[in-house]
Amino acid sequence: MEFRTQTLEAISPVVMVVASPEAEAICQSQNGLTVTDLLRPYGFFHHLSVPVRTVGEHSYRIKELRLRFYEASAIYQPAPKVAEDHLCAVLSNAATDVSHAPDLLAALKKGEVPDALPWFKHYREEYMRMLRFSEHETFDHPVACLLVLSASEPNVVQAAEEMFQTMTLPPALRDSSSQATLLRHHVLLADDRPQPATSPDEKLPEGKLAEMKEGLGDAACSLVRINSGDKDKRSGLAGLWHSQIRSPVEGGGAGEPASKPAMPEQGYGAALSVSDVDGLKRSLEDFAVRALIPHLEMRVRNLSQQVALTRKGFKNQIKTLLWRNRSATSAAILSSATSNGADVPATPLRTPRATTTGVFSGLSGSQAQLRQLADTAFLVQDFQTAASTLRTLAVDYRSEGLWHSYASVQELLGLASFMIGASMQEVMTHFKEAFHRFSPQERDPSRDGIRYATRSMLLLAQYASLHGQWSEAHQGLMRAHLQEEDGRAAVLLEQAALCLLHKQPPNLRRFSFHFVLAGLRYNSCNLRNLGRHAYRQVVWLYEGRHWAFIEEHLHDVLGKQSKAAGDLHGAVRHFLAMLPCPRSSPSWQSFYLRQFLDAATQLAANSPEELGPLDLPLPAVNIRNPQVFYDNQTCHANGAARAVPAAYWRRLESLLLPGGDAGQNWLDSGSKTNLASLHNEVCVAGEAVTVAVQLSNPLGIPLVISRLSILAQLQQPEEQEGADGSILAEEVEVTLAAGEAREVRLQLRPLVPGTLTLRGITWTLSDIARGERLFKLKAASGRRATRDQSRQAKLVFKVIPSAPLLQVELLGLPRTVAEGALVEGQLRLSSRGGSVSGIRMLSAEPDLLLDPSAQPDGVHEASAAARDQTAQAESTASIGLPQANVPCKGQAFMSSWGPDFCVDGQSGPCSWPMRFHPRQPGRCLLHLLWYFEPRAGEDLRFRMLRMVHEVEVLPSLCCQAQLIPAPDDLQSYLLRLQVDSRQEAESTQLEELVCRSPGWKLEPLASAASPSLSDPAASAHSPPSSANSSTEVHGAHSSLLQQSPDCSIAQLQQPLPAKLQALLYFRLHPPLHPTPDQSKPDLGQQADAAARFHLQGQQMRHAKAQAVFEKQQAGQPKSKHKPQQDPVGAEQKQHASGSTPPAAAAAAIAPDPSQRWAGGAPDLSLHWHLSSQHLHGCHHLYKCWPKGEAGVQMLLKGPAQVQHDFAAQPLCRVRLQLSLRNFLSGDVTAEATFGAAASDAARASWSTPGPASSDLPACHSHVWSGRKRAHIDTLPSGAINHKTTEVLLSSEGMHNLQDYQVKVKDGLLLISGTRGLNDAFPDFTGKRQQLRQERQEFNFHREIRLPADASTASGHVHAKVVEGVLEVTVDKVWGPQASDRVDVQF
Amino acid sequence: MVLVCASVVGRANNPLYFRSFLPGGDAEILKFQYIVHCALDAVEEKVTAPQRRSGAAVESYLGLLYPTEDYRVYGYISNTRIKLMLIVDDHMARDEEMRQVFKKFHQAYVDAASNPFYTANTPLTSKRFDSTVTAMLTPRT
Repeated sequence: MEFRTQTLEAISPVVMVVASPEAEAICQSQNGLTVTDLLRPYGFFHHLSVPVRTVGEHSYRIKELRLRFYEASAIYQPAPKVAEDHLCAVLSNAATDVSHAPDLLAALKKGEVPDALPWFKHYREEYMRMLRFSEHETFDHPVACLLVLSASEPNVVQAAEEMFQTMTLPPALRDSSSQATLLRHHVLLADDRPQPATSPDEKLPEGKLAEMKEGLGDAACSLVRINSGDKDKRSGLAGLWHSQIRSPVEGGGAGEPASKPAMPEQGYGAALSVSDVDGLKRSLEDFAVRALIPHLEMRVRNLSQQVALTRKGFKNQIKTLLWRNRSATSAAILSSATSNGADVPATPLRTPRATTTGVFSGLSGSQAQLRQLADTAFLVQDFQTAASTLRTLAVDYRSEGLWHSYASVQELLGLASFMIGASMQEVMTHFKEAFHRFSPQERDPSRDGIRYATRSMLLLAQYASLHGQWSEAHQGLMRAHLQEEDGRAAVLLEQAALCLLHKQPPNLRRFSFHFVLAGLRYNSCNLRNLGRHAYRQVVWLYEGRHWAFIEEHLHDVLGKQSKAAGDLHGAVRHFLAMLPCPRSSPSWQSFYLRQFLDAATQLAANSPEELGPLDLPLPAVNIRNPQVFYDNQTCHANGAARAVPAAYWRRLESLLLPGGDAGQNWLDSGSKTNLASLHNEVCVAGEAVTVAVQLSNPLGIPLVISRLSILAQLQQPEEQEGADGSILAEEVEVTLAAGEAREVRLQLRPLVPGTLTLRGITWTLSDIARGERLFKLKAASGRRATRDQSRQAKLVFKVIPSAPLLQVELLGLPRTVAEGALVEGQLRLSSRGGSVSGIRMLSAEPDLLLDPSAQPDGVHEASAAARDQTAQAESTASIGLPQANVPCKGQAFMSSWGPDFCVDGQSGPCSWPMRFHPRQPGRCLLHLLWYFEPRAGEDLRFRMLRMVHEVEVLPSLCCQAQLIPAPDDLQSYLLRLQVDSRQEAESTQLEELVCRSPGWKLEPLASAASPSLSDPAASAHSPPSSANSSTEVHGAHSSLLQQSPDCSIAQLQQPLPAKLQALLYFRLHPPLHPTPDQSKPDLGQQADAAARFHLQGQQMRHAKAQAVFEKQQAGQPKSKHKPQQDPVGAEQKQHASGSTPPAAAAAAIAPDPSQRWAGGAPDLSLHWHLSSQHLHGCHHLYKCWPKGEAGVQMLLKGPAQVQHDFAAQPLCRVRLQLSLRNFLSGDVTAEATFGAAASDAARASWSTPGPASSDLPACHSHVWSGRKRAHIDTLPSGAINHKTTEVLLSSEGMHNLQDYQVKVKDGLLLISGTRGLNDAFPDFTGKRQQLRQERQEFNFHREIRLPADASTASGHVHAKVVEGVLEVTVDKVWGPQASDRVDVQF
Repeated sequence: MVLVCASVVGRANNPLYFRSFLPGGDAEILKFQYIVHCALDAVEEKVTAPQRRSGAAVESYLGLLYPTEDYRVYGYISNTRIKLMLIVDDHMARDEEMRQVFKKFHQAYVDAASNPFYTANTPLTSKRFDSTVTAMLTPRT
């Protein structure tokens, strides 16, 4: 509705209706309407064209006119308190049902914004109504009086006169002058109902009208007929009155009587016909046009003349000035006069005024005339006159400081300015000025004007909003709300907030804040429904935007109010939203949780069906990334098996599957058996689908979560629909500590085939609130979207019918075991859901071997059924392990049972013995992969079972073997075995040392009963101190020796205490003759478990070394300049350098094609026993190469101590034997020189130190006898040559035989040297290239003291050339120093 | 000039940092959150209005955003659309003075956001930033 229309409707002539009781009865009995209500819809005339001329020369035309009809008794303003109560009741009525209020969120989404809330329009109208009929606003005063009489009145003229004289005048008309200006009109109301019996002398209504016209005047009378319609038929006019009938104020007033007739069942105006309505309308129009407008026109002229008389001209101006001064102390009506309502005295009060603020002026005097003139001119639509008069009046009031009157004038001036088309700014300025002057001032703190001030702002807001000035409207309403009481302030705030939404861009945040403030105000005045509505409208604006305090505040208020209002569902919803509050203290968090649970409990008790699954934020669930584990063709025995990367398992599966090696892609492998593996989303009925979900507790208090399970749906094929209990979901209980995050694995078993969809998880918080979250996999944009769609599909499974499943248990395997231990265990096989056959096992680690020789327990029974079905005569041998521990690629071993071996779920499990032998300390993961073929079910032809068993391997012993050429023998070696105990407390019983290389013979040197023990920490870098004594090495003879063709065993039977070290010395005799090339021994042929594992280790080393060698060959096929490096040389070098661990170094060695030992380097096993654990074990030492092996070895043998009687024989002849052995791959020539030539050469390069300490004096008086030079033309590879010589000694003492020299020539290379006893030439095989260029001769000398017991002194030399420097390291096997290091520059 | 609240608001108009310098507890913070939240409307108006007019660049310092009865909210916007806001309990604050304060505030934010362990547009929990802001904005006696 336009503002103009509203203004014309609000300020229109008021007609006072006085009806006789009979007239009221005629109207009310049939129509449920008072006479006033009957007239109201017909007080609007919109097709008029009435010429009017008021004060100006020119006339204008009134084209539409409204009349306001009020009962005479109700034309007064109710007391402020009554009015406030009425307005509160209006809001309370609105608050009873807010369901019809628009949902702003939905409206905003549609781009629509309501201009006002539904209750605001009604509230505004009622508010305006409560402020009508004030004393100072004469446009609300009646301008005409309508006397309504019944046509049945016998004497209508007299009755009319009596009514006029006795009627109750409204307070504004109690002044006689006002009464005199009232227009009087008479209406004769005729009841057109068929009268039961009419007396013949009774006149017709027309007769009465004529009588009335005769007595009261022709124009002042009219006849209205009603009730001509059929009451039982609805006339369709009822809607006309609904908008016109206002609820009465308590005690009456504001235009409505204290009580009104109730609406009849037939509706208002049931007995009115169209002709009645037309007659009524015509009569009222006649009244308005012929009587009222001329009356008002005349009144304006009169008032204008009076004003002109009193105000124009110099004389009057002086009078006015004087009057003003006088009136400053004269009477005025206090503002309280407007609040007296019905008790307002008949004449206005004229009491002296102390102050000039905050009061309305009286209605007498020139200012009252001006106001009446302005109001009447406004009523008669002469807005120019009204505006000019009001401006004059405003100046008067302003100069006198009558601010309320001034404000009232400004308000009307605003409306008049609008009607004459003034600028918007001017109109709004008038309203603002009115607001400002109505508002309580500092000097006048009374709150009387606030209601009028608010009305001004409501007018301003309406005007501004209708003209698109939303900011002005918002500001006006905000200014008004500040000084208003709570209920009205809330309404104004809401309206101001809506104005913000119309701004561009919409001020959503300010809007929401205003609504929050409005909610607060509503709550303050106990209008909680409206408060709740206000909060609800804006809570969505804050949700999820991390304004935590605001969210918490809103939900807290809403939750409590909902609970108080009995809306438990809403309370639960809002308390729920408060739960995730990590920034609150634990006590508050606990309170919030309790509050929520209480509400949920109450709701569950009242209406359980309403407490459905909630979107509980506690605990926090990662719904974006659930991990799903399930078995189809591939099964997992335990969680550890799932933790292993799938690629690892696939590599193992390629070894186990029948066509795994052949095909590299799905086309090659191409059988339909792999089709199931292509569809990963297949799972098997009856088998578990596990979902791992991340749960976390964001609070500082523990959370108890029970009945946590998967939410899933199984859609069965059509023919099987209807079966119940098709899913078995496991329910778990979890308690999450404060701040804890945990992965929870939930299981689900589809019991029948179909399509399984995993939807989410569900749980119960604190055994009260049921929550659920649906999975929402992480979405991605762009090219990844497709992949994520497939991820989403991972939650959908095709469930195929159940298939038998093999179950494997490893019995007897401890969780912790010592390194090298030999553990006996059992492999228990059983099946679930049917029988399986074709079983194959792949062990990825060599530490677990099946015992092929043992007969399994229960196998007869287990396979009985299979035998019965196949053949009765089948031998039991085929039921066992036809293939056990067959090496595969890498370190894997495969065992397969026969095709007829069948494990049946009904006949119980069967067990197989197995051995476990961990050879590396640390965490040992046993990866076992099983292949089996279910005997039932067509969907899966075979299945794979993955299992992982974890064993922690503790270190037990550390063995290091060192092979040294024997000092007294060019053919045998000394074995130095260093055993460190790494046990924490227990002593280890060393049982025996076994040499498992064929042909080698083991001979103990040190006493096994007393090996040298030392603390390894103290002697890590030096031999044990007791090693100084040679008795260790050459100690008592050993224990029992067991020699066999395959192995040689030395019994030890010696305890090794914890954390100590033992040194054991043995002599090793290599095989004299090359052993025949044996075929590869089979693991199954070894009865002893230790031997089996030893052999397994050998095979693995062999395979690995072969692979490395082949790789090297493949990588360097065309390297011409690089010397050919045979595997033996590589093995020796690696072994001597010690840079690689023994096992790794040994593993890198190529097969031994050594010229030296046909069977390769010796392999050893050290057996031990832990008595407390009844545990046997062994350590394996493979390929013990001599350290610092020489290319050509020589030995000058002779007695170390000779007793001679020089008195009897001046010369002592001592026989010496020089032995040379060629370890090189080619032939060499050698030349030995004894005597002066050699000694000169030696002296040239060496200064010979004297003996370090000796009982005998040093002596050089010896002479070589016989040939000074001995030639060995050809010393073949591996051959030994002996040369005998003699030395003559002429005196006693310590003779240092250093003057001999042996030259060895190997092809182009000439190596010569003077050697001590048993010194060896280095092997320069690897360095030939460099030495060939140098072609240098070198001599070196080594003095070795001959000990008393001779023949055992030995030195050891390593030599290598580094950048032209020959580095010679002299290493003693025993002696005071570990090694001497000499550098020779050449 | 008495600063009573400092806040950093992210690109999605989510609070990254909120600090009240009044000893009012949660009630004060709630009030200030409402005020700062409302002031975001003013920021949007100020940022979009010049572009409508001339396409000129928006100055970082936005000036007075939202006067309430007791406080005034001043704003500053960075190039990355991070909003810095200060609530002042002084109706006589001068623009030049506020501009300087905001520059320091912005520098402190830049330092904190340059931390390689800080994820952009997440709440600022840096104690150093907090202490810097506190030291910078606490009224000097």
